[in-house]
Amino acid sequence: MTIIMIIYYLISAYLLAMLIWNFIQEDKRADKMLQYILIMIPLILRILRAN
Amino acid sequence: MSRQLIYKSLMVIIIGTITFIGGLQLFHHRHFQIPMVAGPGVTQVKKLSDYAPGLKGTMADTNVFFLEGSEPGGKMMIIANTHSNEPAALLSALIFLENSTVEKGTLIIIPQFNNSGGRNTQPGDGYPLYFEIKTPWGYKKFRMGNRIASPLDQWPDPDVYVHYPDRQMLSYLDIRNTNRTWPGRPKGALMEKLTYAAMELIREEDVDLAIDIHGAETMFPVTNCIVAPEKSLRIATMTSLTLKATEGFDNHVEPSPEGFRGLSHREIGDFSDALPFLLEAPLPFLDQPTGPKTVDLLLEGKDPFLLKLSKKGKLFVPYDEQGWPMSKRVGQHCSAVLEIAKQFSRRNSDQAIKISNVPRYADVVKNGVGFYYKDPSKSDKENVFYN
Repeated sequence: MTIIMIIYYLISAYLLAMLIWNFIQEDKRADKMLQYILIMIPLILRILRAN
Repeated sequence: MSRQLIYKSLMVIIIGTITFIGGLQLFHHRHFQIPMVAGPGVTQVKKLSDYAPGLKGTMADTNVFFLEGSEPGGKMMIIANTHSNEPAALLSALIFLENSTVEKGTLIIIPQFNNSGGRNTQPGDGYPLYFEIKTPWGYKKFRMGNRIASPLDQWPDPDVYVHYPDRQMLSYLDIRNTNRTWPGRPKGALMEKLTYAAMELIREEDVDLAIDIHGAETMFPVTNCIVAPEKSLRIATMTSLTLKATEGFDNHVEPSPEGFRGLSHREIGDFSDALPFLLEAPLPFLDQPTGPKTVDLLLEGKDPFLLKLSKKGKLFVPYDEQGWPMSKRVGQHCSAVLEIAKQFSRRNSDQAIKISNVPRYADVVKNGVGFYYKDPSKSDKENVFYN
């Protein structure tokens, strides 16, 4: 695994954490909740290295 | 439990279920195996990682079949599925693998060169995941792959792909395109390691002819042709003229541009003693102004929009109601490969390559592609290989 790949994994984990936090905090707008979940999908799959 | 929590939980479950169902299809596609029956001519089966250990255990590693004749002679290598969304290459390579016997020289076949790309797809373009070829014993199922390797195997992409060693700047996606990463390097990105392994094979085995089989859009000028650098031009020209005269199909010669780096027809010749050739047959499926990207379009090449464009003179190949069926494309490739070997043998009698039992253009058009495939379920298990 190259140093660049490790950095990209860390960025993915950071973005995912922010999305989860925003999803939990969101209490009014359903469209935003849906948006957070959809954006999370590729990041979760990448971090889990599902293939 | 608050109403909001129930609402959010339901949302996660529904989206998760949809993702799982969609992902499962892609998972099955990625892990679907295509059986390849080694024919009577196969004498050895190796892995490409035998030539560059960096590939071992990765999705880029792939089978390499050797068909050695009883008499020594020249060596010809067939590379198929460099672009796995151009399946006539794999289908042609399998005809050679399952049928040919080599009397003189050696034939080396890599049927699934970009193994990772063969397990990838283009969902945004509505690519079918599989296609089937009719055979005398039923249907043989193939994965439909993608032009570039899967990001699951090589990630992340750079903003700009800087080619090694020329430092030419190319599209970021081309770092996963195995026809832009030649000659490769042992410690580069995975696809650079793959092309480096193939270069090592060519150099270690003293390959004389390296033929990379492709398909191209009917609206793209470099289609229905043999692309060759300066050192291969004479054989390519004689092949083209002979095919036109004896078998009646066009296959013009395109010179390999010196300033466009990373392509097999350029780098193989520059970094080894082999004579490279790249075969292109028309592939209407790849054209942009077509109807839906269906299996029928892939196999038959019939499209009403291309027909209209053809009548306006916008295509680079003849095109009518018959489309451009797979049998024509595969037949062209079979004949072109055989003719290149013949033309090379004429000029190098001590390095001659003699291959028999491979059908030519008219045979494949008449009998269909599947006629030449063996039933893996009735073949000796030792002769059935999976990547």
